[in-house]
Amino acid sequence: MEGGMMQSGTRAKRQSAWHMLASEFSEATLNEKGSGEYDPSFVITKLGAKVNRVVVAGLLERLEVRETSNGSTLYQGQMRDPSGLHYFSVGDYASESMRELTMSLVEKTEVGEPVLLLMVAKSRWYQTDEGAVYTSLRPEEACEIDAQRYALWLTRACEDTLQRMKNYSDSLAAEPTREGLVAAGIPEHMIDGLLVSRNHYGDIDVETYTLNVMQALDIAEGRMDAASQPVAAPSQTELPGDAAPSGAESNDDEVKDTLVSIIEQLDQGDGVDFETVLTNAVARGFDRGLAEEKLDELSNEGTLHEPRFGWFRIVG
Amino acid sequence: MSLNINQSTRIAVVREGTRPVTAPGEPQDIDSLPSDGYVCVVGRILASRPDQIHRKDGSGSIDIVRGRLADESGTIGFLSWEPLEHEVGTLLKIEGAQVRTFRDTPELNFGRTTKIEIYHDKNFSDADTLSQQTVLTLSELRDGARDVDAVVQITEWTKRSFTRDGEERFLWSGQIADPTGRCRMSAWSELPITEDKLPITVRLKGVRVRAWQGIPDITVDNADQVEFLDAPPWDSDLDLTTHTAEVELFELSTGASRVGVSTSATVVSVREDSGFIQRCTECRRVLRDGACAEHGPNDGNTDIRLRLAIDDGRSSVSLLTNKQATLSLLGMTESELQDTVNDLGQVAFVQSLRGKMLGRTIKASGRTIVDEQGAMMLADGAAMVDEDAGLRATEIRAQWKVA
Repeated sequence: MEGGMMQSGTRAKRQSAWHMLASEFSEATLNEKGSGEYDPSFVITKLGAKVNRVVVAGLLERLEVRETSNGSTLYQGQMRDPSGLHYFSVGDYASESMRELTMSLVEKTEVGEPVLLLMVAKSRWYQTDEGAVYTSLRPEEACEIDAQRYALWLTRACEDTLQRMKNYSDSLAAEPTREGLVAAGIPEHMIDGLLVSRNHYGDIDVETYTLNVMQALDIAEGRMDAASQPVAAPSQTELPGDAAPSGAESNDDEVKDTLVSIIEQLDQGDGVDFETVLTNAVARGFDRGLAEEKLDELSNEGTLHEPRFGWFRIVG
Repeated sequence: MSLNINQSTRIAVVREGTRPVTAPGEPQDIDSLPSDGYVCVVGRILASRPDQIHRKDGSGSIDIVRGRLADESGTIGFLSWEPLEHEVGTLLKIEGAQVRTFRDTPELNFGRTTKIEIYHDKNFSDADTLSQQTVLTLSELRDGARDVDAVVQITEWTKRSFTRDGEERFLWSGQIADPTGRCRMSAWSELPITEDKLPITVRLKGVRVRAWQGIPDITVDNADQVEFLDAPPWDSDLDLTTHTAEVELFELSTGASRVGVSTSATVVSVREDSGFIQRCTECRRVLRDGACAEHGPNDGNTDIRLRLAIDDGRSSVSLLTNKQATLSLLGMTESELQDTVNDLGQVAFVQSLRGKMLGRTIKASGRTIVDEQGAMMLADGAAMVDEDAGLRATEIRAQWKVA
């Protein structure tokens, strides 16, 4: 299965995996890639985590198969935890077991069966021509978990997030050099990330991460049901009986919300062109046809207007 | 314009100034010496003895002096190609010594151009204080180390004979342990140890370390390197034959290879070749497509193992559980496991293992092999750790003061 090609020289050491909530990962806009072909690449978060691999979990919200232009199959999905969404994709490059699991999950999402998923995944990073940056995941291995294991994952993700928040705030008082951070007691595996993240992100607000952690702990303690958690985006509370229609509705709303936020982000004053909006929506994991349809709807219902043909702005 | 470079052109490589520049004659701490290059150190002689190196071509031997030098930062072995008359305890300033790394252990070499002189510093620690640093625990042993002092318990001891050059010779070897782990010890001369005295605690002085397949092996060359103690300096109720030292994964992944250790970490991968495997009948390597990389195609012997990756957020270690540990971890007999694999097929079987293990904490015990390709743990015991999420969440709130 691994083929006969063995790389000469020393094998790279396996990169360790971060337990991380979706908000921290999805807000990252910084990446780092070594110059060598086999050098690992990293997404660097606001809290300074240098992420090549993560252990993440959540409610599988969407999983769709897409045929790409070169004839290969790509599964695109969304997984929600109390802090936000992870976008992930499984392609022909994935292992046989990962693809088999993905296919069985597609069937479950089609009939609206709620799935709590845990995955070990590689970080991916994508930049549009306009400079907008999106992160996504490529799962290596995954499995369905029960509420108890989800709760355990949440506690671990919370603990590690709190630890990173502490490292981050400790680093603010320190000299922004390697020696300065060592002297401030920052652990070795956080130093490189904190040095570049501070430079890239400037001052950040960690308050939202505290809120995320509090909500995640509520779920872990059983005070709140994981599957009906209130979330920033339109809520997903659905009864198994009418899962399909309401699921479709909330998905529609989500496409619209995403389109609006893309335009908000990229508009430099002249609006954002049709192609850019759609490329960004696809990068976020949405179907191009659906995004196009919703863009029309948004124009028709007056949320968007077109100052020039094919250029979109938010009304008001 | 162009430069023409031909046979008569002289080309000199000018070294760029990227190396740390150390002023000549400026002494460096022993624990921060580079792994090669010329250095200056100030240190006290802790050990010194004449030795000989035999030329490989059989044309005779060279007299050398081996020993150990210490300052307050650490100790280092030395090899002098020139006569060295200074006694143990003498404080020396040594300029132009060359650092060479033998196996995993750096060593100072003194040659014709090395300048050695007696140094005066009343505040420099005496030999007794400095020699405390050469007392190592088994967890600190590195391949190639010399002049090692340690206090260990001998738990097994046997005499073996072998023939070299038509002559029967003897070697004594066995298992030793201290609270940080276990390893092997070999002696080239007989020690007054009988089976009924075991376990027996000894102080080892000036012994050397070799490693076989990552496991350190202490070599005792003379009986006078071993001093027998009445009682161990640790809790004497500790049964070191079964004791495992609990070590954090990060420490295991960055330290020396160790035996008799246990650790806990998150399972982040269950490899597709977990379960039943075929091992080469010659060398126990896992067969790929019915063939051994070394010994070619063979029927192989059936074995059971899991190949996992475990992780603590800072380091990742490859974990291999042996047959017994695998069966006990899965709670199955060999035939139950065979039935399960037959029913599910290999891919679904591995996926079922992920369903049980991925993202969960595992506790494993056994030995580690650490080399430049990373760390590997060979486990003879493994169990999933049960955790209570609600309790954990409450602890986190209290510990981090999040309401």
